[in-house]
Amino acid sequence: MFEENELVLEDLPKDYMEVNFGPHHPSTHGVFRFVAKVDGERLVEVEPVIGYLHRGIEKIAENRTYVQFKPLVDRLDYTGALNNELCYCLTVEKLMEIEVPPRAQAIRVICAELNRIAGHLIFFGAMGLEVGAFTPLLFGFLDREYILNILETVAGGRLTFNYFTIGGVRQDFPSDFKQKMDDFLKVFPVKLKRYEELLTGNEIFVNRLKNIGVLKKEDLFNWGASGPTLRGSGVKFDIRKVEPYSGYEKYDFEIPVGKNGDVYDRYIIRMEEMRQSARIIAQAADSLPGGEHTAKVPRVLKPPEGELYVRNEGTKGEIGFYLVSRGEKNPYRLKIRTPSFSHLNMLSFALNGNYIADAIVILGSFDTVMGSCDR
Amino acid sequence: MVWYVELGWALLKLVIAVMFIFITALILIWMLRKQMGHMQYRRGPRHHGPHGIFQTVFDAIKLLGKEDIIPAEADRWPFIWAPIIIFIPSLTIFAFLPFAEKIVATNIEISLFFVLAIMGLSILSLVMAGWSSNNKYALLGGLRSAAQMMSYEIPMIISVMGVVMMAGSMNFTQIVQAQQHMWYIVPQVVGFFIFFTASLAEINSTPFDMPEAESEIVSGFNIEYSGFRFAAFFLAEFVNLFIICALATLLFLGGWQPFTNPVYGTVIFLVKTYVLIFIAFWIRSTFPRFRIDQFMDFGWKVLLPLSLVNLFITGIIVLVVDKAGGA
Amino acid sequence: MLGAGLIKGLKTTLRAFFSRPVTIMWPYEKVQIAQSGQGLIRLRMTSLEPQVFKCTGCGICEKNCPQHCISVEKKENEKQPEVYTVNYGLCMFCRICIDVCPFDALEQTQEHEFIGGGREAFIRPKEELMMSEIYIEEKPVEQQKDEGSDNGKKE
Repeated sequence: MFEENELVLEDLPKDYMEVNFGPHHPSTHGVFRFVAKVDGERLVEVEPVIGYLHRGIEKIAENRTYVQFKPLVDRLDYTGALNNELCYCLTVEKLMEIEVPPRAQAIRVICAELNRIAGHLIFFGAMGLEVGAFTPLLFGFLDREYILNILETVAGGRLTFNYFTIGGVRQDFPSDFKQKMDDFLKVFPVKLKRYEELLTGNEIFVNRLKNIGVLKKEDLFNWGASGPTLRGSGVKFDIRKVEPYSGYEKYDFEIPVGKNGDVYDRYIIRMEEMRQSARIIAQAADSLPGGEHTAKVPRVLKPPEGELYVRNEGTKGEIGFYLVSRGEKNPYRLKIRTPSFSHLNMLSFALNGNYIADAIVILGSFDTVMGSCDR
Repeated sequence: MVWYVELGWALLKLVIAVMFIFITALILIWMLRKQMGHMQYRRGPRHHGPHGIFQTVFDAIKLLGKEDIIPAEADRWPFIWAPIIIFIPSLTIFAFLPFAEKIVATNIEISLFFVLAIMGLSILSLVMAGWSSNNKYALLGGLRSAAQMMSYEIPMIISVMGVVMMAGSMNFTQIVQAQQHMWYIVPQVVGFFIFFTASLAEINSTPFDMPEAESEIVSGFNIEYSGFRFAAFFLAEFVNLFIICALATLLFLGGWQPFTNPVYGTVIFLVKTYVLIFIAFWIRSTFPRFRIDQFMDFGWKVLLPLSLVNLFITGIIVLVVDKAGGA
Repeated sequence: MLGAGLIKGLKTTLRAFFSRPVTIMWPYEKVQIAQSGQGLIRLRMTSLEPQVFKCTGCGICEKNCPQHCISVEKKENEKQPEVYTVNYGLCMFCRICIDVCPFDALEQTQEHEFIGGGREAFIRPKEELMMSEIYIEEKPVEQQKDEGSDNGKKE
């Protein structure tokens, strides 16, 4: 009797609430916006919107010479700027076949690893802030001050350096550098232990991070992930071991690898990477070779014609520069491959089905920085 | 006495109570900023007044001077009344708290019962604020807070029942007088922890501050409030914290014992309350916050059975001791 | 134990509570910046009373600046710049101008606190860019370089 008027529950039109986590948000790591459709507290569909920090760096590169463009490369991933410079200098040196002296290589390794520690300390602070603890942020930034003070005496800057040149480094280490390095390396493991006590062992924190945002190996390969995000799912791939550059094959260090692929593993990997970086710095500072700090390069750089792609392990993943040169003073085309752009592509399948609170934590674990994503 | 003298006396007590509450809120905000600063290797406010004690006054004056914005699509009357209603439970409860042997505004037979009943009224104001702001973040925050506060009322009340059974009365003064030989925290350790945790959840303080979780939903239900309405929410949170710690002191830490002198009693009562406030701020600057479903699990699956077990064991022990004492 | 991690976290914060805070009360105490820190770039002077700059106005710094913030003009047959203006609103302190100058006429100071009222306040002519002391030519001194140990040399 009631067949025609029966309402089937699946046919009722459902309307999800659309929430906009806008560009002004305390925890979307920079000016990043995503529009989410929310069913209660669970996310159903996520659409990221980027481009708020686009500065046209790749186009600017076509109108500057190689030396003039180098300060702009710092501003891509501004939390770990020296790694970007290292990749750019390696690209141009490989194209022009310039041999970098071993002292410059060791100096580059020390500065790049110091910058890696500084970048991971920002991650530690931001992770604490995502889950609601205010104190780790201030602890992270306090220890970052010590590193930035050391880098200021060496490189001349705190956030953007312009220190590596094509062929070496701009100036040599000051005379009291060894003393400062030893002081830093004595204090740093104690600080790391304090961070472990404050955040890593905390039961509330562990419950917030474990089994959240599990990513499988195959998905990560398909989307081009790299760096600690990839290593969290059990893939032992680090460009410093696979294609060593700038003398990394001389140093002895390990690569931490996660098991489950959840947010907690990615967090632990980054904390462990800080220890390994300190190990590399200790070895490099002990065995610093003498010699020149820069090679002889011509005043006006005109690389031969050709194209090549060089990559290195930045703080957040793989940074790559694809350079096309037609033999002139300016590059013809310079394409920059950054890890944050590839990781933000993964949002659609990494965030769906999670609570809002978990979604923010997963986004924090990718550790994106918008200067690198938008270029 | 003549009716107008009686009325004047009551109004004077009211004014003193309200002044005390606001000054306490200002002192607590200063204490939070200084303490959290020192726990993070920095100093708190320093410029206004010695060690920055007038900073909160200047902040309140600044907030008074801001433009009063009501969103166009918002529901006007709940929006305006929500920050006023949030003070009503706090001020009402304050009338029943005894500070010393004879210093209490009103003394009724079942003051503890009345206090616990009134405390649930603050849910209303948060939901009003969340709904009337016409903002999705505020709605999420308001609904979270309603769920949270309702589910943590029950362990809080049950954990207090152990104290009531041991003291044999629901009047604050008599409960404190029954703690002459031993403070109730010693036999009721579990009850104290449950009460402290549940009451921190009641007042939305970290690690239970999802309704105003800053990282996800940017300040939750107070997102559309600015100026003095926001200051009202902010002050109310600290007034509630003071009340919670005062309750814990009276019920578990012996109130104004061992002094019966009114002046010394008040001083020692305030000292004990401020120790508990220090511990609450210490927890606030260390721990991250729970997620909403983990938090509900904790409340219903851990705290509630524990409090029932506590009640059961306390009941048996009181019965046995009574029988043994009587026989 | 169940709450062990929580207790350790509380201990860390309590230890921080009893330590000395690290705040530097700017502007009553200033931060010391290292000798090589980035700051305002000034022109070196060989004499102050008649103003003689070391710069000859060749314009190489102008050609090499990535942000095009230097503008230099000079008259014919003179060895001093007539107009030397730097726009510090555009400068990104990359120090390329110091590196390419053939006469070593520019020097980096550590002044980093400048305020201006509007964008025009940052365009500085050469009168405001003078160093306050005369530049004395130093003989190239054997710098105390950080010579490494011998393990490096054997590589």
